Amino acid sequence: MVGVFELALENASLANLAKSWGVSSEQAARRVRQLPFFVLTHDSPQTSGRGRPGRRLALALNWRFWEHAGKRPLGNLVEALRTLHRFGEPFAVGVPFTSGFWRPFLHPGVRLLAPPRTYSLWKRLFEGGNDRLKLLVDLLPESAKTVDLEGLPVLDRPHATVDALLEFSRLPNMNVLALADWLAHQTPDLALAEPYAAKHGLDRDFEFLEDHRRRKGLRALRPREAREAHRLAEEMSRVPATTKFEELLSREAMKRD
Amino acid sequence: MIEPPPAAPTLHEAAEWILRALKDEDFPVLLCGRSALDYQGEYTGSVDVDILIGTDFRGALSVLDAYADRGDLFPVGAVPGSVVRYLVRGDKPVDVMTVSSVHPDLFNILRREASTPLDMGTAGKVRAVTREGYFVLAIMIGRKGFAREKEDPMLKVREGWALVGAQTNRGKVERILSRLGIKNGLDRALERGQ
Repeated sequence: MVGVFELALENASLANLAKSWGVSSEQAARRVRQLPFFVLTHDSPQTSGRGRPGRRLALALNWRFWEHAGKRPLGNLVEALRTLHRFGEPFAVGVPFTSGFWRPFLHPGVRLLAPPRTYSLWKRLFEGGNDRLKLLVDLLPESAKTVDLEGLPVLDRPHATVDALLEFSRLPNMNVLALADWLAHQTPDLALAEPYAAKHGLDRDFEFLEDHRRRKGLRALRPREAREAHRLAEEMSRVPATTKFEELLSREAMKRD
Repeated sequence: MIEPPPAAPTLHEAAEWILRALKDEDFPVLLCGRSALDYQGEYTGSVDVDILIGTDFRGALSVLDAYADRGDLFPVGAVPGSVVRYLVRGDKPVDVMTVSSVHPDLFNILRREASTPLDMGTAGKVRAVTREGYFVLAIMIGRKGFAREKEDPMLKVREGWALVGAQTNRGKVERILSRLGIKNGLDRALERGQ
């Protein structure tokens, strides 16, 4: 199935979109109306033929998520991402959603990973933020798979470990490093993400997280931070794993005006 | 005593319930820690609920013990004299703490000058520390409270500053700390470990 982002880039007809989704044209049109960054137009590259040209999928050129994010940007983002995931769009989310593997927590940086074909479109529509929350779009590694968590396509555990390391190197929040530490110790097929770590120059940090043996060439980590993260990971692991990410989102809704 | 908490409470329902239990006995409370900031629209990563008790910490614990006897709460750890962790209905973590031994005026100063009211649903209005209050509290606990025994007592301060420092009134933090007898406390906390 081709994703709706790719079909929008190709200016696909509504009929093609409906075929890709396996629904009727009317159902496809209703779905498009749930995605405010796309429109159905009657502009057609074909000039010949009789009657009104068929509807085509196009980008809403001026739409940017952060201009519509409102007072609950994370909640609204999650809603948009869940809708896209439900419609089969390929992408993955990283920190903080990967914390759902363990003990969910919020974080001011949200990482979203998009395939090369639609990366620039994701970046254009969603990257940015306000003074409290920022969304960063990165390339989805080919080797990565996704896991469905609370209606979102979350990066698989080995790649989520590297993703957390990457985010910690950008914005050092000990929760994020504790998540990476916990994943590194609990993920049997961690080696699957080694090339992804190496690509970002984090191979040494990645190995260090796994065995905590000192080595040269660490880029994101300092041993003292890793020790603290390991301690925090153990402490947080004593908290029962019953809280859902959704519960933390409700705090955002209580924000003062 | 109030009615038992919901059977499988969300984290927020657990917070509302324990706040009501404490307010029912007229204990002055403040939401603190990262959960207080996240309730104000930050994204700092709290996984629990932190509640500061203003007076008679032992009295508050004895009230909560009665709920524990009824099976509503499970005490799961403590830093003696400072913090007790409970699990509401056995799974939602709530930390209840006091800072009376850190500084006798700390709670009242935070409440008066570095807190804001939040509507906590069935628990009504509850004051929560602001960003400035968060840093004052973290620095005081790092210097004179339970965090001073840690390898890096100011780690939470530096980490918090990386997350919300840009929006925090640095001067206000220093002014409040100064009234608590600490000069340039934020500056010094941020310098350590660098």
